[in-house]
Amino acid sequence: MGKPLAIVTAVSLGLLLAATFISSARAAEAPKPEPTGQELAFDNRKGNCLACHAMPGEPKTVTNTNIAPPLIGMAARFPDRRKLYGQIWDATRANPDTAMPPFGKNGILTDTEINKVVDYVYGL
Amino acid sequence: MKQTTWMLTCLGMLAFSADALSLSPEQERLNRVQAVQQKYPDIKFEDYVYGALAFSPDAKAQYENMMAFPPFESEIDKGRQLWETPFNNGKRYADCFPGGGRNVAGNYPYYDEAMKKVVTFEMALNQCRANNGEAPYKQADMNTMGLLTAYARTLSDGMLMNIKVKGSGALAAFESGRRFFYQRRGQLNFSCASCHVDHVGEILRTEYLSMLPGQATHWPAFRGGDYALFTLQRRYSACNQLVRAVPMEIGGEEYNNLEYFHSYLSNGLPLKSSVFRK
Amino acid sequence: MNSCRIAIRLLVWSGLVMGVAGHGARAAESSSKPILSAEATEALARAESGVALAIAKKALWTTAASALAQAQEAAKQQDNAAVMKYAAVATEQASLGMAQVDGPLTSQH
Repeated sequence: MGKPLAIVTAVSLGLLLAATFISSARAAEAPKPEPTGQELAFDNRKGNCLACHAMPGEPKTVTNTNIAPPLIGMAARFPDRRKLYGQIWDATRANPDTAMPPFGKNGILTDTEINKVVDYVYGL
Repeated sequence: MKQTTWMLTCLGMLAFSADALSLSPEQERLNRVQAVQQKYPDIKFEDYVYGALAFSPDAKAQYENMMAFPPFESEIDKGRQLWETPFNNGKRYADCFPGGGRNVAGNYPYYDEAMKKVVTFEMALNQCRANNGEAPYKQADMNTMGLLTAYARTLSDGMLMNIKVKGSGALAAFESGRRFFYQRRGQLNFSCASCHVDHVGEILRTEYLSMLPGQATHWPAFRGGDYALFTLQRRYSACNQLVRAVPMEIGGEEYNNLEYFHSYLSNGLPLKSSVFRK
Repeated sequence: MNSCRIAIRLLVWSGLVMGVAGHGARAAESSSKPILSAEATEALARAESGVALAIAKKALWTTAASALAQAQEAAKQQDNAAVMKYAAVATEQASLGMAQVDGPLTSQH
């Protein structure tokens, strides 16, 4: 009997916290410019590419990860831009066991955001 | 000899691959231990209890320096006071456990046939309180249950994890925990295993990913710059939130079953609780 | 046993949701603003039931929960467009979460 109540309490608390967060985020929203592809790729709430991919050509990275293939020579590796877009949209299609989040399918990034990331990654 | 074992394991995996869920708990544990051994032959089995630290001699040396005089020792002392203070009826926690509570934690969680559910050490502590006329602690409350286990579990330091899965009810609970571990969750779509099986020992941003065997041996832990106290299930909750899944209830059936599976996978490894972790 | 628990959860949850919705309705009565459009009301109800189902299935994402909170907040402000927008996100994220826990397990090679 205590359990459903506890879960509901936890969830409603979460909702409350989320609401608080959202209203304070909204206040700060207005003057902020749209993030660039690089900012999206670095942001750990957004693309967070560098959590798993090294970027040997990007001096700004501060990680030493080795989970996923390094992002380098991308234009040569993905001659078809749509393939790179598809990989970011839902990597589980090509590899069901992948650890890469399906950024498009799960709504982590919008279409516009994915396109910016693709443009950025393409230059690496 | 070792090679024979490995070949037998492979054969076993083939035999079971049609339905991965029918792997026996012991087969599952051996598979996971052997996979780590293959990938990291230089790391000794008993060092799996160090988790991510096992991959970095520097980090492990720093850890050992800190553990010589743990900055959170006064917190463990608070737990000792909770443990030693008699209940209103004059009895103590030590009266509820064989050996006064020494070398018991490695037997938890166990599957209770009468109650038809998994019983964790935290539940046993609360049962002890109830049997002595005291109100149970909230399992998510680090200032009561968390601190109490931060001392009580140290009484089992050195004991080898010794989880048993026997009978259909126990097996079903184990399977439920197993599913939880391998099921993708949250918007980010990770399972626990995505990191701690598939990418064990690799570096996420700047941190090594610990191996599944050994993960259940060192809780509660004092984490991060402020040494925040985390029981194992609080850690589950935090992990779930990181992948953007609404966490389950701490002390609820889902996490209890997960802890059952998780602890079984640490069988044979020595306990050491109340340690520092990042 | 299990379905009974789920039913109780649903009941408690819908009670909570009705409480929130009722609160919004009362706020509307006392102000002169127009009430929520039928379309927005329906979208909000769909999001609320989707989230309740995902909770029962132990498959709720934090993103679904926070989108629902945003939709409910927008309902209080009588902001039809925002209700529609956030309710759609909550509904989609809740159904993705439910599909996910029926998906294959990882690491079974």
